[in-house]
Amino acid sequence: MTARIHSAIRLTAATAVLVAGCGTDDTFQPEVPQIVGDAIAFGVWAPGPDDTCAPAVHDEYMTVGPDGLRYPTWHPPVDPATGCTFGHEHGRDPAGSDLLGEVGSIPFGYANQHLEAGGFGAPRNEDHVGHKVEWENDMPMSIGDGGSAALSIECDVLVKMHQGTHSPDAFTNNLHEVAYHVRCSDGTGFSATLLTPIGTPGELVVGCDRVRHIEAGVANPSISPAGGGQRAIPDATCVERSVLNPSDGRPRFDSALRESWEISASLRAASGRTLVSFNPYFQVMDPSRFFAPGAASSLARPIDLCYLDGVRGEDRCENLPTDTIAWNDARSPFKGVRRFVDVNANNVRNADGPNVWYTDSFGRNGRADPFPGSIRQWVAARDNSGIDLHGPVIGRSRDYDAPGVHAPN
Amino acid sequence: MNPKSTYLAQFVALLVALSAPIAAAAQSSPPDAGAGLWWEVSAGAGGARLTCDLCDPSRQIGPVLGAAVGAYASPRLRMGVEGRAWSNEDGDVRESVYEAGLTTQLHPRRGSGLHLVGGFGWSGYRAERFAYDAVRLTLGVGWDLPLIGPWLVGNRLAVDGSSFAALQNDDVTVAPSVGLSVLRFTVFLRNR
Repeated sequence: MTARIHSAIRLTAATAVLVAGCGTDDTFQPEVPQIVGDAIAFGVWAPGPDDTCAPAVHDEYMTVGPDGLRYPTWHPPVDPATGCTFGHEHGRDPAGSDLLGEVGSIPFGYANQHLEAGGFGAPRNEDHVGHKVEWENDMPMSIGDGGSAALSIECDVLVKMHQGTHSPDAFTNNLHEVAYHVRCSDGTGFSATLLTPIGTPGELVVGCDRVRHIEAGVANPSISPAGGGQRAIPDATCVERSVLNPSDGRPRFDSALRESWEISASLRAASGRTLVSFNPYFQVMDPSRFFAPGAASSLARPIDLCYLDGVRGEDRCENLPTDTIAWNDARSPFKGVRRFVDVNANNVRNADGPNVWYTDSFGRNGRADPFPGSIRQWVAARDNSGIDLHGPVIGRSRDYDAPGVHAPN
Repeated sequence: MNPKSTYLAQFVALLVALSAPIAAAAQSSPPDAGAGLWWEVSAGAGGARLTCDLCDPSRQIGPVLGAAVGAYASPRLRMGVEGRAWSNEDGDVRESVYEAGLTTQLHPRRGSGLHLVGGFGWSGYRAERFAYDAVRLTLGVGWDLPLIGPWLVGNRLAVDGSSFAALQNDDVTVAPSVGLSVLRFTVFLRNR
């Protein structure tokens, strides 16, 4: 067993020892699970022609979920032990998060894994490269209704969103996995893992014209429920407006391509009562796709625009080789590495507890006891009504590009 | 210190500077209080701070304006009612403290401008929908000097303190036991 696996399991074990000493509901992680098998999400990554790491190296970056299954988790884009490259990245290294010690490594695909066992009638599995981690410690929060003048509250947040911006998946599919951990100085806190429906299945909202909704096809799964929020994704009109025919003649790819996945997620008790609600916006400035009706799979590649007259050498196309490069070339400036998160609201309505709730993969049907397909969630015994707690933008200045990283990422 | 605080500090310094020569000139002619009504207006700067687990620990500086009216209970003791307001713009939020109540001003030595201030009343904090209302006590010390005729000028350092009340957002209690203090330095103009 490698040092990487030891590290992930050691973290889980340390948390479990802490839990054993303090009671069962004080922290997110309940116990050290025995490995009983592999999750669907484990071992699915395969290297592309330009990726130099073997799958076995990738599989060393794993964690064991509460269900005892092995899951992929965060890893660096370049393996520090061998120097090989994976060709994709998962965002900010969670090792620096103040929450990692409590919540442990994030298992990628945990809510997907338990979707059907929880009673949903179809699977929903997402690719590996779309899992993106972001975090911030000691964030000064804004408090609405004038509260910022009177109160001072800081939060730690560690979040993982599955946000693939390289394929047609999100044109139609609105179910995406989010793992969201937040702990604040006022006692607000929760750890939620769920598949959250973002907007209407089969439909996208045009990124540069939010009033325009496009029927993009049939969602997979076709029975996906609708959710709050929206997936704002650029289409060909955005490209036309900001890149091909900008009013001032200067192409602006960031204006054209920016994606904003605005989620409206919650955990709810079986009675329907909302325990937790949060609505972060996940934004990507450099996706490797945009929606183009008429193209194969309605998918077009921004890199192809860089070789058009009037765009060549401009804006993000600067310094590209004169020969065309493929959409998945590491030299492309469009590979989904410039991302940030608007933390936004964090509401908790759980004054009477308990801390631990078991929900289905959608965060619904919450009960105090586990049931088949349930996911263990943690919610502080707190009601922060009256404190409209909003987080800032995090990651705005970060860029997760690294040697070997290329679309699909 | 932010620019606004700097301006306030400069304003207070100016008031002190203006009152100092008057004070020096008036040393030989202490006030002769002792009968009738009195009233005063005051202006200066104050630092306000809420105290609770969640409260912003910084003391915010802002202008304070006040007025009082009353009567002499004895040649060395004035009593009356007062009202005061403090305000500050914190980011895009305007926060204010309003105070009203009774005030007493005692000259320990007849003929001296030195006086002690005590007060009792209500303090209210407001920041958009956040509100706090509590009983207030005031303690302070001041110095007043004759100006012209029935007029006196002086300065005063005082602290207004409240506690054991809830900070609320509309009807929702955000923090159950909160303290509020305003430390203020003012210059006043009084008519006997």
